[in-house]
Amino acid sequence: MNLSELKIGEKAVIVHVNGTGQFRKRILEMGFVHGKEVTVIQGAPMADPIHYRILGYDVSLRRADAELIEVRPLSAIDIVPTDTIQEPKLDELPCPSQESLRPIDNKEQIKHPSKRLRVALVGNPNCGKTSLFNQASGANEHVGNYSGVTVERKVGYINFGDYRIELIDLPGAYSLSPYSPEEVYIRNYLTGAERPDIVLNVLDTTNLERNLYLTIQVKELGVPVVAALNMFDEFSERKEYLNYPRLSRLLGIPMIPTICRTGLGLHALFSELIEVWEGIQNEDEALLHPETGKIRPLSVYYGHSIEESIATLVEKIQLHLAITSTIEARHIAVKLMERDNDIAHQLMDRYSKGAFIISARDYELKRLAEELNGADTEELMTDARYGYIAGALRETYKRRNTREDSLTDKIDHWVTHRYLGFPIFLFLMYLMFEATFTLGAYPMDWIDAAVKWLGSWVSTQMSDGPLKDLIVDGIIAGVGGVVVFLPNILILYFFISMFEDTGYMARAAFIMDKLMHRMGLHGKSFIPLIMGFGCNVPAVMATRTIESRKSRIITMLVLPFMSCSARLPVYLLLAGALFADKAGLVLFALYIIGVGIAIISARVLRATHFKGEDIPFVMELPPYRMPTSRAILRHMWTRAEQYLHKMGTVILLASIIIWGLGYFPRQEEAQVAMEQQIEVVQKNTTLTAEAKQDSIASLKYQYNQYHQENSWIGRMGKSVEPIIAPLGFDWKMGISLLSGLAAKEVVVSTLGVIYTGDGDDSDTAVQKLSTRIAAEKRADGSPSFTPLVGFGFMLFVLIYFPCVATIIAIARESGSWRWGIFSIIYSCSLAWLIALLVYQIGSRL
Amino acid sequence: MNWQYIIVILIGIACIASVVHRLWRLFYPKDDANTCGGCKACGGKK
Repeated sequence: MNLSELKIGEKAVIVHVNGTGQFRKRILEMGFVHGKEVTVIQGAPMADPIHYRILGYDVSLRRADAELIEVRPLSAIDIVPTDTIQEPKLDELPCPSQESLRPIDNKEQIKHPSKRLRVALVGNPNCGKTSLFNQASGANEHVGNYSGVTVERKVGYINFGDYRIELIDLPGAYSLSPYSPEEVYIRNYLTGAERPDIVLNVLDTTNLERNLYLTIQVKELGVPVVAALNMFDEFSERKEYLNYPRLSRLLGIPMIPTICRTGLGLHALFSELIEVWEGIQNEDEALLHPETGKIRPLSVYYGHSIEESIATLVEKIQLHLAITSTIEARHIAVKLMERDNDIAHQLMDRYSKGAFIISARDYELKRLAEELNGADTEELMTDARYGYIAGALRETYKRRNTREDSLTDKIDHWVTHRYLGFPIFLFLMYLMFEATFTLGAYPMDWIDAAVKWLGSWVSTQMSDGPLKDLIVDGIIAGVGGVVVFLPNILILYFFISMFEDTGYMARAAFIMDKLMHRMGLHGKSFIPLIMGFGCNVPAVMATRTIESRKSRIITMLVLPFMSCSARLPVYLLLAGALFADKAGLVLFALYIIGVGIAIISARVLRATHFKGEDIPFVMELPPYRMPTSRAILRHMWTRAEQYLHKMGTVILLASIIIWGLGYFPRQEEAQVAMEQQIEVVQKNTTLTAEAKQDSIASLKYQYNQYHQENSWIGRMGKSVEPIIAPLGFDWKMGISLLSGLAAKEVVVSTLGVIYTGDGDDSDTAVQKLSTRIAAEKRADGSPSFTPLVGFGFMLFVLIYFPCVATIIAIARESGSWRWGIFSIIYSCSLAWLIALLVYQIGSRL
Repeated sequence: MNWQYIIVILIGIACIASVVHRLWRLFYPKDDANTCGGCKACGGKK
């Protein structure tokens, strides 16, 4: 029978994995190898994908993929008692002392160490590499976080002892097989010219068996490795036992328990790194191979027949490719036997005899297939590695099935529930947007009042003139109108951080996979899409975790429809002005419409240009973890910094330019005429004081209208008005949309400059802008911003041109400007069409 | 000419220079971070 046929709660043993290509390899490397026990935990809503537990960790597989895995139910197997295997004696097992778990004390470190050491952090996704990186380097030196959330390497520094250590945080990977771009990246990095001095392998101790698979592969490369047994606190809480000094001796890898979230154990870890490095420098016989003088690699025994083929290939590689190192030659041979196409292509490109080696490999594979009665070499080699790990763990590790009733299981029971999964997800999303609007309103008012005070103060301090107008009506109205939304954006990021850090994001991807799959996307696409609510640029970068190039490009192209935080100020302003009571609901509706447009667009793209190439959905479901306040605050602070930086650069620049375009050319004659008329009104003795004020305000308003329409920005706006008039938009809205091409917040700053730049300071900036927007009239006296027009305008802002930075990210990540240009044309046309439909249909109802 | 006009003109010139600089960087980005590790995710363009 196959895995998909098992019922919830049923256990089985893996017999064989069918299928071909990369999917099969990934499944094998994730631990679905012969003899391993698997449990069915739960099905997602719509009964697909399915949540399984194997090797003590949780993973989701689509039903169609699970059908390829042959299993035998545990109930159908006569279990042989295993009392012949010697269990480790629990009372003899080591427990790390408080001293060995102490964190790094920066005060102890010298400021200018003389020696240098390059250390690369390698490990499975979500094993705590970045926590270690932040704990070790964050408090000490500048961290160069180059663009990309999970994919590109990050570099940080730490002074420890006599050493200045360069820490390189590499993306997470399950193996060194070229399955996804980041795995290729890691392998090339570890073997390339920039290779690190030592690899620091971070292991999730609660999921040791699968984590060690990557460790074995790294060790096979012959690079020095030190391992951090991370999450040791969680491991200890589970009452599982590990004789890690013995495991360390068996694998030839120093292992240090750590709790990277809090920094505990890092002192011992870095001391060990330095000890190993100095051992290599001093040619320590225990570490180095006696013949080669290089680090002793780990040699997994792949069985007699495969070893024979490897030996034949090693001989040929050394002879024909002039590779003298046996370690390197064996590594190439092992990879070739695993049908690693990346290595095969490299050999073909670099060596004239590369093709000969490949044909020798093909001959060996054919010979093995006959000799092993058709058994698959890849599967046998993965089995051998897992067998090696299982052997080492059998002597050192005692697992207890304490996760049966863990908190994670209880939470998962509800959040991935067949009927409640979607409502819970929608409720959490609604909660996020409602909180963004309602909670954010309080600090927003405070900042708004501060901006108003600043404007008034500058007005009283400066004499009249263009510079005063620029500062008050351009910079303060423009930048101030946007900066007030900072608290709302921080609240949004707080929720996104919570979803990411607790582990809920993976569950959201799990329950959405079926829907995403039907719409032509991959379940993994859902994570970048949710990240897109924060900022589209890192979300585009995060699409690199999607293995299929087609799925990746589709995700990139639909990502701009996920409403980023830059669009939030526009919604908050207009929803607050036009839909006061239902602003939270309107906000939620806009985000949902964005998701809907993204899904429909993905479906269209998949059905037209990106047919075929469906990639299986194999995703780990990490246990829920309580996020640390430090991590969340760090995330929020980074975003606040970026937002404020944007205020000081793009928004400031745009506000000045928009002000300049609206201020010039000066209408001297009209101004003189207005002043004369005001004088006439003031001298009129028949009018009451109130009537005089009204008349003067009316004259000023008429002058402002005349001036704006004849300014440069007015002329530009009038020229684009025919295009947007069918959508119910006037020229002022057109200008704000044009200015929003640089960054979406500029839409608000432009509205601020256009609508409030008249010297009236009776309200705070945003209150005044909201009032003006609601009260703005067309030439015929009808309101400019009706709720219908306002909604259409918000939809237009949601859909049209993603900001310049997103377009550049799409062009770079897709490798072609073609997709960047396509994104511009597609989004602008769609925005126009949808806003047209909303206005034309809505105004007839 | 009013001194405020002179400052506004100078700010205008600085703004234009900044826009030109940003557009230049748009088409010719700096890669002094040396971030490219050859993962080919960029399609081999870097």
